[in-house]
Amino acid sequence: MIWLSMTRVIVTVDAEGAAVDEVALTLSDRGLHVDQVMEATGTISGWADDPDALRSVPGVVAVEEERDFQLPPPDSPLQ
Amino acid sequence: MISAESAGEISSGRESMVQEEPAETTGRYIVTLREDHDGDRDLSALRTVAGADLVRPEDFDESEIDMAEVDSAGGLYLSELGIAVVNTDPAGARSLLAQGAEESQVLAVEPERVHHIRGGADYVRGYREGVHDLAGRITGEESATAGGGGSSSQPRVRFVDTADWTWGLEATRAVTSPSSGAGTRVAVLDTGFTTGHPDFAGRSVVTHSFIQGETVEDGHGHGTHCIGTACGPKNPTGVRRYGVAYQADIFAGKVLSNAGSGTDAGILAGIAWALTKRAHVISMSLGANVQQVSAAYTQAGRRALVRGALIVAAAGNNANRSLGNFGFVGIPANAPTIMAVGAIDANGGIAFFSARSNPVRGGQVDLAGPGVGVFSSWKEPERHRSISGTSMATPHAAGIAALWAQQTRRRGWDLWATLAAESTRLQLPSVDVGGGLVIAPQ
Repeated sequence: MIWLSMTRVIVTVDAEGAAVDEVALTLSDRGLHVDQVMEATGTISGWADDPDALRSVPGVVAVEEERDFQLPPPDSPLQ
Repeated sequence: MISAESAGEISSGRESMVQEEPAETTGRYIVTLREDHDGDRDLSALRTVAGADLVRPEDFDESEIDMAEVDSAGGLYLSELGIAVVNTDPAGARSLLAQGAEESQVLAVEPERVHHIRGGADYVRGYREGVHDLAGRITGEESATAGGGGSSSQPRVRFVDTADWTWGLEATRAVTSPSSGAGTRVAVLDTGFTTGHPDFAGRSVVTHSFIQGETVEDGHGHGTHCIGTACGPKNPTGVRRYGVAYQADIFAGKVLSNAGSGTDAGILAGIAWALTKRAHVISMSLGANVQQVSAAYTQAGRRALVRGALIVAAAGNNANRSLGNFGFVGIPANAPTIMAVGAIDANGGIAFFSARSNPVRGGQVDLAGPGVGVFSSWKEPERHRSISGTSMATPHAAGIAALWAQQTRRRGWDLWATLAAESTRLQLPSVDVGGGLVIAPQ
């Protein structure tokens, strides 16, 4: 289950192609609720109670809290 | 070879403090041969004009040419470089050029110049300008430098939208480029696209939405505008031309919602998709005001480059220069593997909102593009609109990258280097515009 208290994270791994899925499995065992596995970029998105616990998984380059992006409203002259 | 500045160019040359001197020449001529030249034919043609054999590096051990022999021979033939030095008179030089017209062996003929080491005064002037520039940055005042001063705020040329095309297409020389982007794939990751837009009828457009619950149809307008700038048609009905790579294949990835919101996951998924679609250029007019570089985007950018894709992103609009706030390049443009694009206006000045380079590794602005009063496509029913932003400068760079990719077949880092080498230096700090205004191949 994904709780509101969980943190949205982006995990960057040094694996390529199908190996990215393998790292995703290990991350899942360590508490990551995997959302998307992006093989081409080697990044995995998901929710975690304890992002720090994910950092020691073999193949993990970085664990970052997900950021939001926001454009101005459509009628703004500055975009 | 010196080319004259034509009217309508944004000038990088200031009122020069150094007097141009007539070149001191030796009386010999430097002949540059075409890339696909036939060595044997060259040598024979050059020998005829010189009246004697030419010396070659192969005639010496380790290519240690005895220059005295060159003087007494017909000249020097450097086949590796495709260049020769020829002892001949002006009539002989002219005849070489005439041959060039028909048989296309000779690219250029120039008088051989004499070079001297430069004097001390230039060094001292350069030092003084450096101090002025540093003082200006520390105090936040854009102080005039001696000699270069007034002209930095009084640019030489002003561009305007004409009935035919936007000011940005003219400033970047897209309108005179022989390239169209044909055969290139440009992915724009944004608020999607207005798929029924009449200006894009008949174009190849592949789309995907990474926003749950929304189709790729652009409910905001921003994505349609950016795609228009990067890839809009050459002859849109009833409006001026506003697009760079008018024959590129378009890949519209919706990574920002109709309300303009997005997350890392959606954006990274969009990049991964664009790479799988073998995009040559990925344009991202989006950003978060975070100085620290993201490992995820650095890796995504690196993998893109390895796969032959160049990612360009908006430097950011978080500056307000009239209040002394210069902003900073945020995520993802601050990644060292992603090009950051700043915005200039039609006077060749930096846009008031254009973010300045961020001191972190990768945080520099790499290039600038037209970003103030940019006319392009918009969602229905309005269909077209003029807006401003580093969001608008970015797709100019993306479309021009596609033109270069088509013309040179360069990809990834090579394409990055090409854009950097081919940008026009502006009379603006590189912390604001990087290497300058992005320019289309001619």
